[in-house]
Amino acid sequence: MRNNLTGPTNELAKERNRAASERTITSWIQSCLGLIGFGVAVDQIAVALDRRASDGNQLVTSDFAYPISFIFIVLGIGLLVFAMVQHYLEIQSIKREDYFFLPSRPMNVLATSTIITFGFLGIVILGLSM
Amino acid sequence: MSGSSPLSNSPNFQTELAKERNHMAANRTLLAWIRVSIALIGIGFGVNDIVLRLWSGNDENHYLMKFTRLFSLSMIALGVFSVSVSALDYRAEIKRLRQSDYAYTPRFPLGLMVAGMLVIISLGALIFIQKLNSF
Repeated sequence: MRNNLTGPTNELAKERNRAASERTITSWIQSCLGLIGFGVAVDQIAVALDRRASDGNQLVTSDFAYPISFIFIVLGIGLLVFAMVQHYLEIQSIKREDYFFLPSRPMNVLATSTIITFGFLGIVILGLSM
Repeated sequence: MSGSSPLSNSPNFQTELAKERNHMAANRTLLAWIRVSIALIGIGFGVNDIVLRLWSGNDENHYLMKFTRLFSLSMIALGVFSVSVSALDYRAEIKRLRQSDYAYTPRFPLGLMVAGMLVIISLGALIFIQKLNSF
């Protein structure tokens, strides 16, 4: 027997899924904004500090800051592009009648492992400089 | 004897509960966009303040000041844009929920638009930083 509740409840469920997908991309925007903002700021801070206190004894010189800044900005942009693709696929699949679940584990693993790697590198560099 | 009442099994009751869930989901989405816009506006003001304080009194960095001002203005404008559109979207969704014949409506992809604009602004920043460091 056909379930008469599927009409309005399915439509409402689709909207909830769309809203959940939008909240997911806003979370990714916030995370990537942190990465990009840090990348933009660290380069400028290092160059300015290099000029004001150029005794050559800083941990982060302007030569070292540029690759860090570059990596952070590229990482932020890359993750944001992945998030956009994932969000677009999710929105398109909601419109279909044969909805299927898209796992997002690879992207989460990539983002988490990259940040952990950078954190460990920072600890190692700071530790070696002591 | 436990069990739900016939009233709670009726389609209208369950649809109303689902509508309430949708209402709360719309609230959460609006709050998420408010957080994003606060972050964008905060970054805009913060980067501008930091760079101006670091390079104040240094007339060699005219292009750096201009770039920083442009970057900050772009971030602030994007923040204001995202919260405005999300507020309008929220208002429209609440209106749709009040209707008896609710249907899912595909609409303006705010998330994709804001993310796309952020990618463009960030690529501009990356190119500028690369040129600045090559001098």
